[in-house]
Amino acid sequence: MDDLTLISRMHTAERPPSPETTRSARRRLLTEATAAAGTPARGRRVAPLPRSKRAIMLVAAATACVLAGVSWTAYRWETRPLYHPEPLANQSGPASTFLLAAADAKTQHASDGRFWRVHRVVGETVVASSPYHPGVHYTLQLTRDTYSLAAKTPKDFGTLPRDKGPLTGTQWDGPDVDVRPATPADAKAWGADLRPSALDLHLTGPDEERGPFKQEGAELDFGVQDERRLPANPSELRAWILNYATKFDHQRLRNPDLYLFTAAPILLVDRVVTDRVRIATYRMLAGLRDVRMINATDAAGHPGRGVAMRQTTRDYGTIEWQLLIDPETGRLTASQGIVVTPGPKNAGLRPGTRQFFEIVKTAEWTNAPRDSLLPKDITDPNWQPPVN
Amino acid sequence: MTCGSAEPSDADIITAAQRDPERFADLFDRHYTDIHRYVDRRLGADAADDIAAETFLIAFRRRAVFDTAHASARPWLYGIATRLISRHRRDELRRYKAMARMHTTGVVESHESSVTSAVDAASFGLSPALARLRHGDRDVLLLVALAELSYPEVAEALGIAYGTVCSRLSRARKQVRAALRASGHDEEDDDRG
Repeated sequence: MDDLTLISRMHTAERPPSPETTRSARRRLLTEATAAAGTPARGRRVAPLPRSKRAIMLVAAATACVLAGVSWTAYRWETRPLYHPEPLANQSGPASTFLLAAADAKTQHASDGRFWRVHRVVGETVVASSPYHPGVHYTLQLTRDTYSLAAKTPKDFGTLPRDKGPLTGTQWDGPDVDVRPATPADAKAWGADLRPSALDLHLTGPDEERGPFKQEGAELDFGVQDERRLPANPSELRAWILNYATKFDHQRLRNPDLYLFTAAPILLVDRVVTDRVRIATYRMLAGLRDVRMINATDAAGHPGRGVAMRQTTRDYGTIEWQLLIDPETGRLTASQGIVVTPGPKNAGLRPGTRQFFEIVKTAEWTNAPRDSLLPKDITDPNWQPPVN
Repeated sequence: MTCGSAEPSDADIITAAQRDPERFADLFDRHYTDIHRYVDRRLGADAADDIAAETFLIAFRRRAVFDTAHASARPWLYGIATRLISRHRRDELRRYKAMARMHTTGVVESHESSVTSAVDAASFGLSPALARLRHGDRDVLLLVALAELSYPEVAEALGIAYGTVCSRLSRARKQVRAALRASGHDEEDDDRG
């Protein structure tokens, strides 16, 4: 059985929609359609009054022209960009000043290369249940190393063994999920429980969350062509991102600044964009409201400075999303979500817990030979790990 | 237009709905169940009830931008549904974790586990691998595997280049296959790329 068939089989549907659910959804659609038609759905007069052939033809031609015009106008209206480049707001205050300084530092350290190489440690804090003693719980930090190597185009990256054509890049994980107790009390409880591993605890690994949970807008899942087209002007970048986010439903965001605080960090590390775009990203972040300056510690215990924004959701309570930035180089060094007030889905976590986090070990351009940057098992399909 | 065909195409319906908006209900009748099923398979039935309905409302509001050169609206509708699913990404990851837990413990712990009780393929370590995929890669993979869209249709659905679909799918499948190999499953090759 091939992988796609396995994936299809593992995703079983729970149930078809009930007749009432279907009726309700259809009713909602028809209500809106009826409103759009401007007349009630029932009792609308459909049959035209009898007229002469010439008059009918004239009316038909006029109607066709009007409809074409209406369609074109509707198309233009529905595809118009909702956001336009505007001067960025309120570039003052400690957070803005810090981000603008980060942009300046990044400008001084701007570079380029054939490959964009990233090594991150991604982590999540969870409440684990003892595999041996029912009712015993402790809070653990799960971490995993993740790596990626990417080029600006498939031609630059080339083909890997096991692939049928050139790719723009590849990613891989470290071999293990590491477990660390969150507090001394957790360490004591975990130690008393014979220090079970992630595997023993049936924990598959950390979830990756850099920014607030999306409640509106689309994921910034654009491809390499868009990566190359991204504007390096902060206000144009802001408009571009927001227009991308609203392209599919064409509804203005209720909180565009929160969305941008979510979206922009992927340009700082994950995506293969020029350093000019990363610099523009910092300048764009400097224009967001409700961002504050912080001094914080990353998951490895390194103190640093950065910016933060809070988000409150029904499921996860209030989480403060923090971006820690090296002011000397303008490099994003860590990001994390700190529980301020837990919600129903993270109720077991204490306020102050670093629920989601990542440490950016490396994020840099390099001209080193591609295969020297990849693990052996990717470059050589016949490679076997050495046996001790 | 589909001259001579008994059934109007989706494009015909959407064109007709420009002047008679209520015709859009025909598109609903044609695709609602499939869209509901796709969302159900990714997020569960309760979420599917909301998201499938929302998909058609957004499609209706955006009917003017549908490219009527495409006879079928399936990719367009799946694309909208996928964007809406992405707002529930954490719930999707929780489901995969629940599947993995259920496999390793053999115990149904929660609603999230029970709704995936038919998951035999999870025995091959697929759910952790799917949870670890990049979001964009996972969307492409699931549009191919669950919605059975072709590569050009996925490109149309997500508004990305054909080449990007190929590279995302390749990357995703490589990770999935590695997980299958690691769990001792010899997968067969197929002709889907």
